[in-house]
Amino acid sequence: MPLERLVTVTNPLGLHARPSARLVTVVNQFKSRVLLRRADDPNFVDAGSILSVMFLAAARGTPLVIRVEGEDEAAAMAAVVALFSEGQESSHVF
Amino acid sequence: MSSNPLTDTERHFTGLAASPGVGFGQVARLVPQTRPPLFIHVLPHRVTLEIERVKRAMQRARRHLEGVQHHFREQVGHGSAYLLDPYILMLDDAVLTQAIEDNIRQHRINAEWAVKRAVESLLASFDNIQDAYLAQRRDDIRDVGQRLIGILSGQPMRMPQLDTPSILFADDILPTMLAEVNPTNLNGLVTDTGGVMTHTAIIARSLGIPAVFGVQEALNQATEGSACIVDGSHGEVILHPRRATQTVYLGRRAAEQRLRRDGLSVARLPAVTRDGIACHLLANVEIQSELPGVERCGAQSIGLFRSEFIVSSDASSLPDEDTQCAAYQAVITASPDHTATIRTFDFSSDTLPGETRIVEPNPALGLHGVRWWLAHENVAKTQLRAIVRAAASGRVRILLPRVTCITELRAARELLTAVCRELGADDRLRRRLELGAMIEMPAAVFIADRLARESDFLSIGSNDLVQYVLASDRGNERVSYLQQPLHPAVLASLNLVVRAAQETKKPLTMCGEMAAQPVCAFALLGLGIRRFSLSPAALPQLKSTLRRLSVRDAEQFMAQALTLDTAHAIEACAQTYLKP
Repeated sequence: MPLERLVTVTNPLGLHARPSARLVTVVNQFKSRVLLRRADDPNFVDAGSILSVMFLAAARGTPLVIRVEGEDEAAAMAAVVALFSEGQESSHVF
Repeated sequence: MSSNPLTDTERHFTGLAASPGVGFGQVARLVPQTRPPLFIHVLPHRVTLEIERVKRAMQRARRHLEGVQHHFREQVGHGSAYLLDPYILMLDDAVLTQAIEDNIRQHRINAEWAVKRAVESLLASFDNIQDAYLAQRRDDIRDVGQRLIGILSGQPMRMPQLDTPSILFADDILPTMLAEVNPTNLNGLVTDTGGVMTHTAIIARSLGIPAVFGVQEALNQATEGSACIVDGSHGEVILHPRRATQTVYLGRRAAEQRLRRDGLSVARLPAVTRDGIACHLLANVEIQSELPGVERCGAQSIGLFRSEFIVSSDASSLPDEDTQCAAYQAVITASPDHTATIRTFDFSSDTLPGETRIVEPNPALGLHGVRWWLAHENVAKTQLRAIVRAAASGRVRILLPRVTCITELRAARELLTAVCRELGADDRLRRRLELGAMIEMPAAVFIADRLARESDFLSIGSNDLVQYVLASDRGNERVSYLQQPLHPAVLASLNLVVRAAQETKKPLTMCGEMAAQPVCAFALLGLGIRRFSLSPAALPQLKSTLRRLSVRDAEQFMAQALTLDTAHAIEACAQTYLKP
């Protein structure tokens, strides 16, 4: 069973180049497949591709669904969710 | 080349101020080395070879950029070297690789043409993206595409070696190219395209290279090696400057460097008084080219954006909703805390644009400010729609200019509610929108308590308040002696407004240049004002003033000042506190 979580983009500029780059770098450290979609769009994209993440055009406040599937899915989900919640305190990352 | 007296005369050009500072140098033109890629049909057995070529080119480009990033990091620190991360990741991206491979296989074309096609189709999907910042990421994809095509066609992009102090002229300069230039002799940058939020502009600012964007005429007229000055703070480019002009700009450069040294050191310090009371410094902004300076001057937020400045004076109509929305979005995203106070159009009959102008005997007492705005419901609604949409990128305080009656505030609130409903704005978005009245008319001073109750915040417009309270035009020399911000009537007015804000616990911001004078800053502090919004350039000075003052002294002074009879006496009293 893949894991799913709902998160919100808190970076004022949205999921732009720098946070996208961090997300992709983190995702690619895991073996699991990490997918992402806008809550209003049923199609998932590969969170390991910077272009796909940029094409989500996720502005601040956009709700996103994260789906992780694979042997290290719990750790991967924790790492990705941590990136999104990091932004709650500092506006630098997400 | 022989000099030509006709073409070597001084010429001035104006563009977008993308990176501040003044730079001198010789024109160095960046000629695109990469020819357009060739289109070649390949035989079936060549298909895998072409795919291999692409993979090797991507690997080479990635290694090259990693080298650039390493070098860049040593020059400017980690702060902005991260800007190159996305390019490096794109060169390893499965979506891009797949798109190029598919093009080669399906169309049996060479690698160069396949890259061009893949990049074009990726760019097309960006066309639907509304968000201004994200839409500018198109440049990043183009950057990667050009780099790959350059490598594949044996002409990798290389930046010129600048041996003398130079101003780089380019139709367009991609972010990674700028990161590659040795900044030692790069004293300025002039381009035809680009915006202040592009990575090129961010990199120029982090390298401290003055830059002016969007000056096509300068590019047409500049010849290699000509003398040139770039003023990236004012968006000016001067070709063949005369000696007198050079002196002026040398002066500006010295002043900028001084400001940067003093101002920036102050800008990093907290805005607290000597006795530890925290104040908030905000920036007044008129034109978009001021936006990059906001954070540099130590502003915490944008405290006043005068929206009528997005309308050119000869325009036959007001900008449409999308244009307005993009402008407001740029303001919100440039604000350090992503909150901006946007004042709705503040026209009077003599400042209305072009054909909409009307004739009134006394514009200052006529259909102006919020009165005009409410009388043109479609204008008001379009502006509110644009603001509500822009609020998706941050928070907006909507400020109504020249309010005289509470009914104006109520009417604006109704319009805002209606617009939010029309746009289907959810609670999250609505919570990011606040509505407030600008206190600058005497009537508003006397009903400040009522206005405060129904406003989410209040702002005082010091320039107009002084003029209206003292019934004197600051542009009229005969009555200019009445420009007395410390006049007892002005202080009594401010006092009423501050009390109204304190009783209702509504944030109050003082907008205007009054606070720029230390004696006035002292008086405002004594009245209880803690939020000041001024032009960005005046902020470092105000901060140093506030850091020298004590709120206790200021309150003691104000208790006396409110009993004094003339501005002169009040100022003399203040000086007894300020003189050591």
